[in-house]
Amino acid sequence: MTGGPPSLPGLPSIDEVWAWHLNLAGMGTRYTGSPGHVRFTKWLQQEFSAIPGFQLRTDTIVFQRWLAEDYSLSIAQDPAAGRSGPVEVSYYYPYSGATPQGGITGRLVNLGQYTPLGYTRAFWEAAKGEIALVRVPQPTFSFDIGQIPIGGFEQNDSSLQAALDYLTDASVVTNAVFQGMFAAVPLQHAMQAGVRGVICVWTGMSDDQVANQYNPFTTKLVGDPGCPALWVGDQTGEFLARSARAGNAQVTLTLTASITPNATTDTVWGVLPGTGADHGRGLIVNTHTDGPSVPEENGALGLLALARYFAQRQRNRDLYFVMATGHFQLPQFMQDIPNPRMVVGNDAISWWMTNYPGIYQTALAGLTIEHLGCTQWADNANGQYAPTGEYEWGATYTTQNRDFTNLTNLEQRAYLDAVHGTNSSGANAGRVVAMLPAPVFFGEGAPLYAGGLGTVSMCPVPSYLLQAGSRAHPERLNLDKLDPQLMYGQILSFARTISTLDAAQAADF
Amino acid sequence: MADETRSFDSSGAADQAAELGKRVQEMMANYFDWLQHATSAGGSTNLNSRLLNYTTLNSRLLNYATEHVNAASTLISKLSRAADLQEVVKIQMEFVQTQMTMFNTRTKKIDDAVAAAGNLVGSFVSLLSWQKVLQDLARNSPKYTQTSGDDRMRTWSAVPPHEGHPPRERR
Repeated sequence: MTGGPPSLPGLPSIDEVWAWHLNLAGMGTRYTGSPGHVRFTKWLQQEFSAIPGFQLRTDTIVFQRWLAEDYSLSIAQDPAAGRSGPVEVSYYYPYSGATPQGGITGRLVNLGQYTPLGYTRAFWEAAKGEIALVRVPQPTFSFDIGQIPIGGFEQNDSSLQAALDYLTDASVVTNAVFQGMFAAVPLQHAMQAGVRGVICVWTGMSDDQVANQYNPFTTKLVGDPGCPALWVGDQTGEFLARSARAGNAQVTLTLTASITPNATTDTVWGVLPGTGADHGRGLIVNTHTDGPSVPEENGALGLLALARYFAQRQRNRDLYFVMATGHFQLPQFMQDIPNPRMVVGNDAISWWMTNYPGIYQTALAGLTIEHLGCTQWADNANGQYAPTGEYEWGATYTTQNRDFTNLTNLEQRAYLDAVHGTNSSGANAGRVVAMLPAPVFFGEGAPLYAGGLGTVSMCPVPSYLLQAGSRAHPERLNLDKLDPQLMYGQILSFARTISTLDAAQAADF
Repeated sequence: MADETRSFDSSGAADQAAELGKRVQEMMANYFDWLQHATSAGGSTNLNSRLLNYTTLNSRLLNYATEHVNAASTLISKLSRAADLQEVVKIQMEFVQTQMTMFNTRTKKIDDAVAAAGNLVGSFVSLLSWQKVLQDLARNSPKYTQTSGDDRMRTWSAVPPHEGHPPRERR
C-alpha cells in the first residue's frame, strides 16, 4: 500500500496503521476480558508506553465473564415431516444460559413471534419443559426521529445537501443491532416459566447478514443467566416451524460456556500533558477496545496514530486518550452520570468517568472515534448480502458543552472544516453527517455529552457492526469490509479537528 | 472550507440568527425536559396492568410510521429550499416543535407499551424502551472500589450490593 494518500507530518503512515489492522484481525474476537481482548489491551499498553511523554494508566477491573465454548443444534423427526440432522446456527445468544457438553434435548415448540408490545410472561407457558422456537421482529428503525442533521460533507455536494441525503438514507434502516436494543428476548422469564432452551429466529434479513451476529450485548449474567439460547436465520426458522407443526420434532441444543467469577479486563488510558495556561481544560479522545470484529474495535488504532502524532507537537491542552473496556458487557460496567444532560444513550466510558470525575468535569470536549473505514453492506433486491458501493455515513454528533452560549458551534465547524481539509489534501474524507442528539446519541460519546462536554463523536453503524466475521470467512473478522483509504482519511480529519480545538479558547466551546 | 460548500455555521449570517438561535436552544431544552418526564413516567408503570388492544396499537404505530416519513419528507423539502442560515434555523426549530407535538400525542396514546408492531419497530416507542433499558443497566450495575495498585496501574473490584447500594427490584 505504498504511495498512499497525503498525510500529516508525524502521523503514522497508512501502511503502518493498516498493518495494525491486520494484527488486530489476527488476535481473534475480543469479547470483554477474553484472550483476544487481553492480547489487544496488552498490545495497546505496549504501544502507548513507547510514545514519548505519554503518561500511561491502566485500570484492571474484576468482573464476571461469560465466554461461549461450543454451540450447535440438531433435529430428529419423522422423515415424512422433514429431514433430521444438524441445523445451521447463526450464532449463540451472548450471556444466556449454558448446557452440558452433550446439550439438552426436548420437543420443539413454536411460540411464534415475540414482540415486546403487549408481551406477558404467559408467552412462554406452552413451551414449559421443552425447547421454544421464537421469531423476533425485523429490526427496522427510523432515524427521522431522535437526531437532527445540521450539516455534512459529500464529494461535490453542499453541506446542506449532505445532511439531506443522510436524512433520506436514514429514514428506514434495518440493522441487527436494533434487535438487541429494542426487542431483546426476555430469557429470564423463559427460564422462570420452565422453558429449557430457546431458539431465536431472525426476520427479514439474509442468512449472510445475520451470520455470527453477537447480539444482544446488554444481557445480564449476575446469578441469573436465563435459558441457553441460539440464533438461526429466517429460512432455518421456517424449516423449524414446519417441523414443530408436525408435532414430534426433537431438537438438541448445545451451548457450552465458561463462567469466570473473578476475571479481569483492562481500561487503558493516559494523557499527553499540554503546556497552555489552561491546559487542565483538556480534550478527551476515546473509544472502546472490546467486541466481535475489526470494524467494531479499530477506534483504538486511530487513537494510537493520533497519540503518536500529537506527542511530537506543541499542545496547549491536556490530551486524554481513553480506551474503555466493558462496551460488550454493559450490565457490569455502565454507570449513571450525575446530573446528566438529557440524552438517550450511555456507554462503557461512564465507568471511567465515574471513577475519575475530576478529569471530565474540567475537560472541554470529547472526541469519540469508533468504526473507522466502514463500507456499506445491505441485502440487495435479490436478497443477497452485498456491498452497496457506498461508504457508511460518518455519523458524528457535534455538540457544544452544557452551558453553550455561542451561536457558532465550534465543534461542528472544526470538524467539518477538518473533513474539508482532508478532502482538499487529496485524502479520502468519505461522507459525513454532523448531527445534534434530540435526544438519541449512539456510541461512546454519549456519556461525555451527558456529562456536559462538547462532542465530536463519530459512530457509524454498519449492518455488520456486531458480526464476528462473515459467514464465508469468519476468521477475517470483517477486516475485508473496511476501506483503508477511508479509515486513514477519518484519522486525518480527527487530527485536524483536535488541532483546531486545542488552539481554541475555552469560552468558544 | 471549500468555497462550493455551504455550511450552516459558515454562512456569515450568525448575527441575523441570534434570536432564532436562542429560541432553538430554549426549544431543545424544553424538548429534553419533556422527554425526560415522559420516560420517567413510562418507567414507573406496570406493563401487565396496561395491556392494550393489539390491533389498535398496531394500527396506531403504523400510522405513526407514516407520519415519520411524511415529517422527514417535509423537512427535506423545506431545507432544500432554504435560502440562508436564518431560514435553516427556523425550519429546524419548526421540525423540533413538530416532533415534540407528535411524540407527546403518541406517548399519551401508547402509554408505556414498547417496541414493535408486526415487522416495524415503532421508533418512538422503541426509544422510550431503550432509554429505560439503559437507565436500568446503569442503576443496577455494580459500583467499584480500588483494591490495589498505584497511580499507574489500579485494580478495581465490585462493591457487594449491601455495601455499595441497596438491592434493587429486578424486572
